[in-house]
Amino acid sequence: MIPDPRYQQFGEAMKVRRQQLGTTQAELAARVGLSRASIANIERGRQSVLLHHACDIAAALKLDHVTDLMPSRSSLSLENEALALSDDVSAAAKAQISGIIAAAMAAARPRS
Amino acid sequence: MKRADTARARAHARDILTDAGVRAAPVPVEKIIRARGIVVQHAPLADDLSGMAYIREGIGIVGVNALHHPNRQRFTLAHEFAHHELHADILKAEVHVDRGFRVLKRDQLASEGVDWREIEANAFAAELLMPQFLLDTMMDVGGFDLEDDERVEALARRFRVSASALRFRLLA
Repeated sequence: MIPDPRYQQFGEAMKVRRQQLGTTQAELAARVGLSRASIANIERGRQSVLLHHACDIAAALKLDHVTDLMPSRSSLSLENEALALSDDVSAAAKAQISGIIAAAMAAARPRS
Repeated sequence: MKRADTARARAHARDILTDAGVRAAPVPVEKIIRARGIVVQHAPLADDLSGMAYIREGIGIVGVNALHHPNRQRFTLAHEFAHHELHADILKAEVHVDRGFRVLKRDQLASEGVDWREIEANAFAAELLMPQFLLDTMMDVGGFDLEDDERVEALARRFRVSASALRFRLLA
């Protein structure tokens, strides 16, 4: 099953921010009351996130807004827009490529 | 069909190594790419995909298949970086996706009509990761036996490339 790319984007943004802060998955897990495995799965986009967990994660990652972890409108639309690719790839590969682009855009945007 | 300008590609790779002040192997390819403002993402991809290059809203992006061997990821990084350095125009229009690089059979590449850009990117990547000036310092003055697997593998380890990539480079 292909996970919803929005969860991958949330997970990627969370991982990028966590690594920026030098925080381990275990430390983050302890702060938000989830298991380390759940944090790992959320970062991989394999586990959906409840709103209160999303808010707690954003706070633990010292972000002012939970939306800092959310896909932007432009990356949300990435999945729907017809990404022009140089080569035909499977739908799964296309989702992975969209995820890379969304994660790169999130990493490139300066965070407050 | 446009012919690949491999001499230009190699010269460009050498200029980048000079700018980065690289004097020893292994070449810090990811650091060099990041220093040029390109965002690098390692992520799991379908096995037949090595990497991708794209420019979105002015931001250069290189994606690498994190499931491949680290040496192969280094070659992919260098190859995708080449597209940014040599073929940036096409990366703004579409996501450039690379499957496995049929890097070892250049004659075959040409006969298969493989894009000239791929040939240039491979030449650039080979020179970036295994620059001639470093090869010269590491190889015996008396010559180097490509049949000597142990020596080829030892040298490949120092460059953090695959033995086959090194053989290709030495034969080029």
